[in-house]
Amino acid sequence: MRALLAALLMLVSASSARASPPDLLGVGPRSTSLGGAVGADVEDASATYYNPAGLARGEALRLSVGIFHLAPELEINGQSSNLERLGGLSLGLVAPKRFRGVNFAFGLSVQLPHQRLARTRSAITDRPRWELYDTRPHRIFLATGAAIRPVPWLTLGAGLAFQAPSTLVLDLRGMLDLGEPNMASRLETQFAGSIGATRYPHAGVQVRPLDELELGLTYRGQVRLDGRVVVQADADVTLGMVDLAQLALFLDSETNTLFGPQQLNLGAAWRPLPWLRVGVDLTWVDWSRHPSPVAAEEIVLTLDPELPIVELPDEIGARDPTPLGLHDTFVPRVGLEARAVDTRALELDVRLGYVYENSPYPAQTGNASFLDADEHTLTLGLGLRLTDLEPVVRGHVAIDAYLLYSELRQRTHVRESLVDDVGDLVTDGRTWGAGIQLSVAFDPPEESE
Amino acid sequence: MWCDRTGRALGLAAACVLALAAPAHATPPDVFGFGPRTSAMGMTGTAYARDYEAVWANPAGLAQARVTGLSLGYVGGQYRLRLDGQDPAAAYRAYGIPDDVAPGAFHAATIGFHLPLPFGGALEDVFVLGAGFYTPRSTVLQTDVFFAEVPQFPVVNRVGAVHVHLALGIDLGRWVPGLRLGFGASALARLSGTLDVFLDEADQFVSLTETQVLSVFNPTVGAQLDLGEDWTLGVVFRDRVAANIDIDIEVTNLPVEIPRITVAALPQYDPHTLAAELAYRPTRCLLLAAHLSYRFWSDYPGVLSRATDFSNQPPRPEFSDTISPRVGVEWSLGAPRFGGALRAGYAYEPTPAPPARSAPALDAEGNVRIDEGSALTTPLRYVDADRHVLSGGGGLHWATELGLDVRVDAFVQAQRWAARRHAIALLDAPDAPNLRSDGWILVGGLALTVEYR
Repeated sequence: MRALLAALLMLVSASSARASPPDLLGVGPRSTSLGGAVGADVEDASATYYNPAGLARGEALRLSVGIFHLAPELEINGQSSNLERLGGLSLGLVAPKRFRGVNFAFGLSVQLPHQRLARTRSAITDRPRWELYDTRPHRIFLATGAAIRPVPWLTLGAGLAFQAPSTLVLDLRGMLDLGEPNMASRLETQFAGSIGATRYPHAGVQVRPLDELELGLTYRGQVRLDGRVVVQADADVTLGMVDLAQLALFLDSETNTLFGPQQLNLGAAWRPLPWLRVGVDLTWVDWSRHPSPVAAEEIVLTLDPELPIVELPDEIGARDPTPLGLHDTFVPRVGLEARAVDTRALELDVRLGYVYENSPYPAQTGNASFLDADEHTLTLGLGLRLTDLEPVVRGHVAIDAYLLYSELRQRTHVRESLVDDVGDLVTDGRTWGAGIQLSVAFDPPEESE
Repeated sequence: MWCDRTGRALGLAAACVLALAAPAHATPPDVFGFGPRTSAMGMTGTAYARDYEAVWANPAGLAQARVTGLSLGYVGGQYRLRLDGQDPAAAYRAYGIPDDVAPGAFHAATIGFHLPLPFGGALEDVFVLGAGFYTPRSTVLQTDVFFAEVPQFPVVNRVGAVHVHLALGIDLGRWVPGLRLGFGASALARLSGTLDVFLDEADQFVSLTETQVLSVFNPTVGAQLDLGEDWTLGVVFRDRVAANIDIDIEVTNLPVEIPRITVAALPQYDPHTLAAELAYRPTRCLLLAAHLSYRFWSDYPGVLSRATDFSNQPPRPEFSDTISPRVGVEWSLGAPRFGGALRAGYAYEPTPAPPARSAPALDAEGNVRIDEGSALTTPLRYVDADRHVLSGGGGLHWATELGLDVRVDAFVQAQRWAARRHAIALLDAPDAPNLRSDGWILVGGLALTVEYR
């Protein structure tokens, strides 16, 4: 019985990833290879994340499909944390239309991991865990946006992104045989479960005060998902053909399963030369609102009558959420893009990006072991554009690719207690990423211009 | 295709239909159809659907679209099912189940678009992308799975899941006159998880828990062939859609041995479906459609699975394949700039389910359990009945001076859930009369579509 109770306790205590996948993966090869410093002038489908206003910048219908891969290599005390690699498919759509000199546009962006739509894994307070990397990227990202460009120097946009919380109410009944639990126990389950849908907003504005300079401001809303599990068990405890007792269990647990902080991003893009673009972004991330990933629980267990051969826990503890103590962060981003080849039929861009993300997590000196560290990210990308494809394509076909390398600074977590079970922790690591995308842009027909 | 008549009478009639549609909603396609036009026409559309509704009805129809369109809708309805003359919630209370999970009102949003790909040269007007989304309010997947003796509605109560349909229509008319092909996929979410628990050296319970939301993709293929100017034949095959929940709980290395517990169920299931339809346009104003859908329900495995390797298996549902005939009619009126349409339809949806009954009780291997020479039975209350679906609706069309075409379409459906006497009582009580089920399902929907070149 104690084991069964423990199993159910563990089931409901599952915590999970917390922030949206694009924060780690980026969206779209061009934007990712520029370090995400594109808030001022992004205009492909990745604008649904970086700045939805950018959807209305162009007049070409854009479709894109790509693949991405991410390989974290993080270590604790010199041992690999064996974090799962991630691969997936990305899809993008930007559908603009110009009416009476005003651009309207709709955009859609999807990042679909190969393995699953979402993954969560249990968190144990004192078990070392890369909270922001463990299962954080393993979620689908789906965002839509709409934008308008009323005048050539101003675009406005807004959109929604989606995530999914879950609830499970489980009933377990039947007969649990103490003598032959595997062969003789007969159990049945019924349940009511749901995967919900949570929408959170993105909005942005882009302005062009000078021909060479563009500015962008983006707000990304907070997303918080709480999972709930209720377990009700009602079983006859038997030994052979003899009924011994009646077991009843009620357990209610609610856990924060995902938290994505609200963000405000200010970006600038400067084109000092016709072939050179320099982008700088600064993102405020509101990590301090992060709730505890530890479950809030209510547990009632009875065995009638009590049995001397079944050792029930003397005291069934219900955990209380404890604050994580995160602090807000400011994330600077820089991106350079240079046109290396520019002919009538072919254009080639070279891209370079850099991001510095200081960790919102304090040093883990108590009994918690949620690990993180400051991170430097370098990105490199290429963009090849074929522009002489008429009559089949009046527009262009592009291939964009990127490589990403992130280095986590070594960090030492010195425990306050000299008899801490886990002990001091030294962490470091790196992440490799790559992606490639094929896109096609159809220019509008002449008569609609 | 609008008739050259004044739209006043039509506008009045359409306004009445819109008023009847009240709060607009939508439903999973296999139960109510997808899109206000095809839903109003008795869930037909395999031969004539030509915009985002075609992603469900027949992706080949997308290839007829020559303009880009975006549609937003809000759809829903009300279950008014009765068991022995009472709301199912009353029966649920008797079984100790919260009555708020009984079939009742439902609401959802629909989103759709169709997008001709503007290739030139040999590929001009050949490819059209389309998508359709059915999103129940605040839900991706809703699963209410009960013990077999609890009355439940596995056929009609399937409205609580996001359905996503993506499709590509290909117009081959340049090479084979009148022929269009379509390929699509529908997606559902399913839930999987594992829980491993063991005791560590310090006598602390340790677990490794993982839950995953997975996607299920199922293909759809279809074709449309114009037979002259007036007739069109459409054929579509939709693969089975099965979204299950599967969570394993395994406890090891403990003083007390616990069997591996599997929380498994199949709450969302659409069978393989093969549909054929003939559409006829005797005049420019009139469209008639006759449709047959064959559903392979006999493959249906049932909602529940056994909880442990040696627990008894739940009873088999023993569903049967069904053939559903449907007819639809559309009468179009109006001028090119402004017009409308009236629509009506009927569908007969025979139930695949045998009556609720005392079914043979099965052991872990699936054999009928015998006790003292007699076969044991267990209550199985999968409650379903034939449905007679009467539908109607209308639409308004306005070609604005901005180059935008704006359409508003609405539909209503009254689904009569035929009276049925089952082979078991509602509750396991001595001398209780056999369960009698009947009722209605009322559905309405509204969609705003904007199209442009």
